[in-house]
Amino acid sequence: MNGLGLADLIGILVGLAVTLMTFSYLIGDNLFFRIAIHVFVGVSAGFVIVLAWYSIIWPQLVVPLIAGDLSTRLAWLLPGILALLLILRASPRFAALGGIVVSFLVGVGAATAVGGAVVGTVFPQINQAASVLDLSSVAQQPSSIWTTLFNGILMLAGTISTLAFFHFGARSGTQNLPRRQAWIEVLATVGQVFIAITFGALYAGILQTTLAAFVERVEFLMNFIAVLLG
Amino acid sequence: MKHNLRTILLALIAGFAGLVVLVGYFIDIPLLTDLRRDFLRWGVLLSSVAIMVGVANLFQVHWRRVRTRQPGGMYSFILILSMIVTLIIAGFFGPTAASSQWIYNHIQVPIEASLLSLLAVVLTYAAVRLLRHRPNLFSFVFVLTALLVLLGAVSMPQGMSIPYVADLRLWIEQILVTSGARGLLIGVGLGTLATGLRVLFGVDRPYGG
Amino acid sequence: MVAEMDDVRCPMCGRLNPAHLEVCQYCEARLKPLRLSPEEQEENEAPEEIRPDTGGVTDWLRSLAQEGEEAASRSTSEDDSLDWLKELKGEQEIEAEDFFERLDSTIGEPDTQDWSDRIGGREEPLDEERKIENLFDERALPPREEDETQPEWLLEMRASYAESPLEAPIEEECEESPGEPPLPQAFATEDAAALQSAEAAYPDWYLDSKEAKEAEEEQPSIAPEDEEAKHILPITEQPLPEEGFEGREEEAEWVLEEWIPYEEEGTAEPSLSEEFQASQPQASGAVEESKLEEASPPPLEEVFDASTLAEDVFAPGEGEAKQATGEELPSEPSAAPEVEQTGLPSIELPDWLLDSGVSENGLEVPDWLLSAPQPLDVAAPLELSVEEPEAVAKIEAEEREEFLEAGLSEIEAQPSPDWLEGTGEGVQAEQLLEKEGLPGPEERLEQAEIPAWLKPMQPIESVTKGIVIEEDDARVEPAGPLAGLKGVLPAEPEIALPREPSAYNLKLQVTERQQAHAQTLKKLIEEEGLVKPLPQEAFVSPQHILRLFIAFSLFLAILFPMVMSFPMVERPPLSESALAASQIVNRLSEGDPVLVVVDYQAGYAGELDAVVSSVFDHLMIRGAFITLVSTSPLGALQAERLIATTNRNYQHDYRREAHYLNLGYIPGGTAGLRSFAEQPRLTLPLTIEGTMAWSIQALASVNQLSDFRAIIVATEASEIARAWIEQTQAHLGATPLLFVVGAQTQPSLLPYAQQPLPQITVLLSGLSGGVSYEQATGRTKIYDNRWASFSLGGILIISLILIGSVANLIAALFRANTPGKKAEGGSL
Repeated sequence: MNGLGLADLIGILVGLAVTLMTFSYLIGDNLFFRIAIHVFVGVSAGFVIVLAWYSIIWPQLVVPLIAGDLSTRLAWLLPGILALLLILRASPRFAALGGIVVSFLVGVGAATAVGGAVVGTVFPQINQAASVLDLSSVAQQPSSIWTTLFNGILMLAGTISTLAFFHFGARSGTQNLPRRQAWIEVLATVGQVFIAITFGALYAGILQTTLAAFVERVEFLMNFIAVLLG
Repeated sequence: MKHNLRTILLALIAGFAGLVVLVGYFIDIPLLTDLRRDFLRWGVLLSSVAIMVGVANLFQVHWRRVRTRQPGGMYSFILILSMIVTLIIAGFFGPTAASSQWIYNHIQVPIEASLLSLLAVVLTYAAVRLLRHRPNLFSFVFVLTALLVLLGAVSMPQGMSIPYVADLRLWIEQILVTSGARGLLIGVGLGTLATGLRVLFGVDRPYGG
Repeated sequence: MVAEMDDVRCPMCGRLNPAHLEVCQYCEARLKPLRLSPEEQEENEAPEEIRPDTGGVTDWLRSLAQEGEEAASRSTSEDDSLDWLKELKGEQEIEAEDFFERLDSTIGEPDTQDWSDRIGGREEPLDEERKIENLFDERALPPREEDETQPEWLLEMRASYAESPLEAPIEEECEESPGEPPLPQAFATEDAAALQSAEAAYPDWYLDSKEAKEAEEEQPSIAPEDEEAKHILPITEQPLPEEGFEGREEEAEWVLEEWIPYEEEGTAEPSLSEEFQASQPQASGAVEESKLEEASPPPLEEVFDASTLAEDVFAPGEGEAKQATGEELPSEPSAAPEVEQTGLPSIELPDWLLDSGVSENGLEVPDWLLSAPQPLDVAAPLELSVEEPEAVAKIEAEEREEFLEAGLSEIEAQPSPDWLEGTGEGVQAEQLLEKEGLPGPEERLEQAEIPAWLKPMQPIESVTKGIVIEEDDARVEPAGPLAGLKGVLPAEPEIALPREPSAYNLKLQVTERQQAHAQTLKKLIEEEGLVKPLPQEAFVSPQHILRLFIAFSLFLAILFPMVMSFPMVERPPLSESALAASQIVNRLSEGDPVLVVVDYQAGYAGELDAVVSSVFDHLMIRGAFITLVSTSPLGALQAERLIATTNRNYQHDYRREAHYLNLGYIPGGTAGLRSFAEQPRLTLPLTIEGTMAWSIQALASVNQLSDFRAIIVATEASEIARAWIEQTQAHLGATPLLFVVGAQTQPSLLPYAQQPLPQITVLLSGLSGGVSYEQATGRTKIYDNRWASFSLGGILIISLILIGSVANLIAALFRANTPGKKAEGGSL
């Protein structure tokens, strides 16, 4: 059929089956949907192990320790021991030893997250937020200066008010209830509007993404029918 | 006392490894460069081992459910079976082999894509009912923005195009959405900074101790 | 277990000593006098139903502490864990009536020696509990005459005892009375020296008041000790007419109002004199007891011996004194029945009282008592003799006369404690006194001395009835050097008797707000552990129908353009981002290394495969060498799928290692990314097939990230995109960074792509971005196959949301204008 091999044909049938099993959720949670979900998780887990093994563990741990020269082996001895400790964490008896590895991973992960956030987001974005009122850059914009200034002020207000919405510092108000200062409250309300706009755009984006996936599935079904019809 | 020593030891390990890596973002100290790179590579290696340990735990949990014939044991059996079959095929032939790609293309992709397709229905349904449950200003702004962005992202049928919609969508995205997203990003960055520093200084210890 | 006759067990340390010793060879505690063995004691004792308990303050406090536990009335050994959350709940749930029932039943137990010890007792008490138990057991010890043996904690207790307006004069009575002949010897020899030494521990205000009293001693009219004796003895030994106390109820309110919010103002509160009367039955003997009942006939619930309670709280030694006189103190008093009787919903106790173990929620064993390191080994500060009623009566008559002479001025002259100063109630109470004229001495005594917190603790009739003094007097010591003597103090058998270990409640003293928080937390924790059954959704419900309708209509809207083979929608215009991206790719030459990051899940293939394929197509047209990498596990597989799809859809023949290679998966999240950005060769030295990656000719010149001619990141997750931006920023150099992302990721990446300082060179998003990019490369694949379906589906979704929102808005407005209509009706 159209040059498709048996494997492809079986694959299309399997794909159709699991697609329909998943879509059966539209009429409610059922056996087929659950089977599809568990198959999905099982396949994912299997692939994760294989990819971790092929990408890292085999080439970077096993091969150097087995086939490497002495210096390579010594260099990878310590991470090898750490990996062993991490594996031992699965056993309750040796779980405490794995804590060393976990703390190491957490420390490195936290450092990269902090460094990346500071260098890659906080400083550049603050700089970017301030630059919207930079007259030299405003002059380079194709639109009129007043439009650019208006947009710049709007963006600055949006950024600051959005940040103010997440400002949780408060003073003791009536009946000892925490209450933000009035000007922060006003700013936060404006920020809430900007957040609603942002989330609205995000929602529209998710709808587009899921709609594209729906289109792809329908296209798959149409292709299957086309294959059946020859 | 033993507990405290262990806590201190773990906090020192996390703090030392983290600070060595963190310094590299700002200052390039030759003495620490090699150490930092080794730490990062070790992190990569140990993360992959941690993933395998996690999957092994998943297997253990579901195997227990199968063995003890708990409710849902049948699903656990299916999960384990799928995992083992994938492990054998992809492990033996390699992840880029045709057999592995067959599993991925004809099982993994259809299920995930179908799940995402279901999400389109659910999200539409939720948006339809949003103003019923929360008829306030922010919900109204939210829905209006979503509609305008969506309207600007699709093409209208021939001869029915709405003028200025694309420009309006562009302005919303470039000005309003960008400013709001920037505020969120800076907030997330500051939150990451605070949380990360707490971890590095041992105030928060997600590794236990 | 009774000790053998040859040996004498030390009442202090419990060890056996030879019978000839008078002091313990271990702890040097006094071993004699002894008392009757339990068997003989039972024969001589009163009938069981009227036999009072010997429990002192610690007993009832412990009973109150046990109140919160449901196992209070059971003697089985239950888990007495210190889970205060459980106790809090139990304490709130328990009813006063239940407590009454338990109380009565416990009182009625014939062989109760130490009833509270039996409550919740365990077979093996903990060491701490043993210490506490020893402390309680020492109540049975004979009073000590060696004042210097008083431990510090007792002095502290006396200090706190002295804080009470009631107890302070009693203390002074104890000090001053030795010289008075009518008083019993035990009273006269009461620890005057110890009390003097204990003055160091007294609060300042008490010392001040004492100095003031000492100054008054010089006045010829009345000596302080006489006055204080009037405060006690006339009341305790000679019952006063009931009406004599009525006027003082109002006066006492100034104390009560501050601490105890009464529900009803007119509530008949137990008069202080009643309490005080009932507290001293042992002093007046059996004959006096009948007078007591006559003077203040309390209901059954009111017979609680309040002043005994007070004395026991603040001077446990008095319990010993009473035992020394052969009396049996009533035990098992409870605040709970009093609260019920006086209509008190809750008792707000002062801080100092809370500190001494009386919480807002019930009385507990005070910490100071629980933590007392040593057993009680001193004599009681007050001993009221019952062996000389005539002398007592004489004192009483004298003091009454003196009291009448002294009048109210002396009371006013007494300095009030600090905590009373500044309260208007005190002045008000004095005004009330003046209004009513010169009160009787008993009234004055009560006004000046009895704290209001004692008021709700009224005597219990059953306990009062059980006080039989003659029987104790009739005890004859059968053994030892005191053999043949009557009324010797019990010691050794009490210690030697086996008893069930006590369970002590170590409840935290928490406020109501803390309790509420604890309850909320407990509820949350409990609910977290519960499996909540999902509400059974009807198979056919409006929601179901609406969902199916949306799915079906969406399916039709998508299917329709696929079936119809003509273009139904307009082609989107070429976007700036697509144009910029295509220009970057156009600048590539054949064999230029391009890093493509495929970091999205299989589910997003429907959107991103199409967009990335259009870019791949362009890359393949340009002949770039594609290096694939991913930070998500399945990204490596997705990359292979993309190459295959592009090859198939755009008729390319890109082969592994010749035109592309797959480096595989970088684990470790941001750390892995950072490592790859800093040292790509070391982080991923091999391809996913296990071949050497960097030895390929196209990658020979690539040592760092900036050596790639372009970096393209295809992802659907904003956090992955952010991580790539943050971690690779410093290593990019002049290499352009393109992002091909899903439509859902675009809004969160817009700030990075904005001029004038963009961190992303180009941001291409969604199916519309793919169509636009195709326009730049002259392709129409996406437009032909999917764009119309996508657009019609989008239009349908817009229509549904618009219709639904308008309908719901109208419904909301309608509901707002129609009060009383339920919010759930009449809309989608």
